[in-house]
Amino acid sequence: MELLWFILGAVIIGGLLLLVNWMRSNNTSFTWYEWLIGAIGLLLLIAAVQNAYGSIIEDEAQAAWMFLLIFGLPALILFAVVWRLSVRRNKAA
Amino acid sequence: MSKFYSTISRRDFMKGLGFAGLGLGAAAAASPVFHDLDELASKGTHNQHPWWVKENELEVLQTEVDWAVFKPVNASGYINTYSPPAEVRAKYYADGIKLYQDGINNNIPGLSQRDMALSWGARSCSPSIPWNGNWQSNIGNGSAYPANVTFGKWQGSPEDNLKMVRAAMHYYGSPRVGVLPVNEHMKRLLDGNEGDGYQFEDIPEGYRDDKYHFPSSCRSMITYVVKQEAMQNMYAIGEMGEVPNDYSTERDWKKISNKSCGGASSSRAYAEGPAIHYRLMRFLHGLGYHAYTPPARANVALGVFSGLVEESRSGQSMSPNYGIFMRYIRVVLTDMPLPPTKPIDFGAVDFCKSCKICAEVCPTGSVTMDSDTSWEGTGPWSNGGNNRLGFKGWYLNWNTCSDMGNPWNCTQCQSSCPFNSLDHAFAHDVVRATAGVTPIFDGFFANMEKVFGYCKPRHADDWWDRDLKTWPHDSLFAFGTAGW
Repeated sequence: MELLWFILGAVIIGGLLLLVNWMRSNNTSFTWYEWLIGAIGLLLLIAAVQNAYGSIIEDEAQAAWMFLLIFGLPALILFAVVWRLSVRRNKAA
Repeated sequence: MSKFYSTISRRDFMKGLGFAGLGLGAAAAASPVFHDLDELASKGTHNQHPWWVKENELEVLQTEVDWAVFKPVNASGYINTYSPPAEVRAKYYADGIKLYQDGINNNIPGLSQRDMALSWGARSCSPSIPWNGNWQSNIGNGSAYPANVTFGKWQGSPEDNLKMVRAAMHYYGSPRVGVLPVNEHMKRLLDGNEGDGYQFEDIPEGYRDDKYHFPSSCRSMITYVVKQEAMQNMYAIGEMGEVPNDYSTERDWKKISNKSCGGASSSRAYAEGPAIHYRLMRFLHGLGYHAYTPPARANVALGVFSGLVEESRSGQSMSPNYGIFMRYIRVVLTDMPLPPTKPIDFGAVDFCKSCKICAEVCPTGSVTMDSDTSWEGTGPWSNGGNNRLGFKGWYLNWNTCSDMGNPWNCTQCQSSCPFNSLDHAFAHDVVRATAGVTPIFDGFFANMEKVFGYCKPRHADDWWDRDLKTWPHDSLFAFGTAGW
């Protein structure tokens, strides 16, 4: 489980660095509520991965899929919302 | 001379004070409150439960007790033991032999010869414990060196003693330790009335004739949990709700409960319990104190009153950490000064009111579906039959349960409890903590237990093929790791 947290942390930090780099090169920014929605999505994604992985250790395959569904799907939806809001706002600008 | 100017306005300052006050208030509300230094000192020894577990006052249970009715098991004039009629016993013996023979002959997963050998191997490999633990006059290294060292009684405060006993017991194999005071009420947790089977007397050392004679200096009973391997037990269960109440002719492994592959977990726990017990008794002797095994066959009450567990709908010990995946609670009587531990409230009784999964999957309907607790026992006998009356809880119908050959032929109720979950997925601890704080979501959590598909039967062949390098569920000696 410690290894999972380490990998999750590394992936999240790497992802954020890539995101900031992309924002700078494209001269893009996010509003405070887009950051908030994205952060909630990230927490949900972490919950999905941790609980799915834990369920596999517990030999509970159905529970693993359910965790991916109930935490992972809303996370993806929130990321999509942030993306659409950002695209629409930048187009308007 | 320099001047310092604040850039904070008065309004911001007052707002900050407000937030600080709010924070302090929240911290005070969340922090433990100590009434005196003794309580503060003892708190450090009582930290074996998670933060959401609340402590009641001594003898105050979530399942209310009426001391005018609550009597010892086997008290005279009070029926507490049940022996199935001879014909019923003969039937389930015959059924059991047929089932096991079919398992061997037909290689039924979980009941094949290797599965039965596994459980057999785990069973009964335990010491025969003298009731007084055999007084140790030498705590040196056996007969080799150093020869007979001399020692007196270990001197420590009751709180420090408890901390020390818990530390030793954690090493010996028990994760949870409580203490009951020897008083008029707690003596009722022993078998029979005082004077019948046991007696406390002003004697320097205990002895036995037709009854147990304990020194009255023994004022505490140490209680402790003997765990059971949760995952291993999952190889015993049948499909929830699909196990018939007579499966003597059943061949479908999914419809048979308490298969030997998983049953090895209870076999092993019963073998390990006495070993832990003997270690504790020898430890107490080594510290210069008495240690006796008092007659106490009803183990659940020992754990409930000493704050290790609450009583569940199915009548079993329910732990905030382990649910009802425990084997039993054991007890040692001692004169070591120890502080009594308080009964706990982690929301179990409220959860059981909503959940009812154990009752739904009981093949014989012996676990009641009644939502609320009751003072009424159940079963065909007078005085509540096999039930010990005097508490407002749920009573198991031992008649219908044992007519099926139980508790040996079935493990469905014990295995189905949502609180049994392992702790690898952190959602389980969120559920436990939420249930400990509020009962609002109890019904939702019980439904989710089903939706998520927990408690499915496992195929024993998968167990035999498990990857030994990565399998985290075996109890390997000398490796450590307490788990949850």
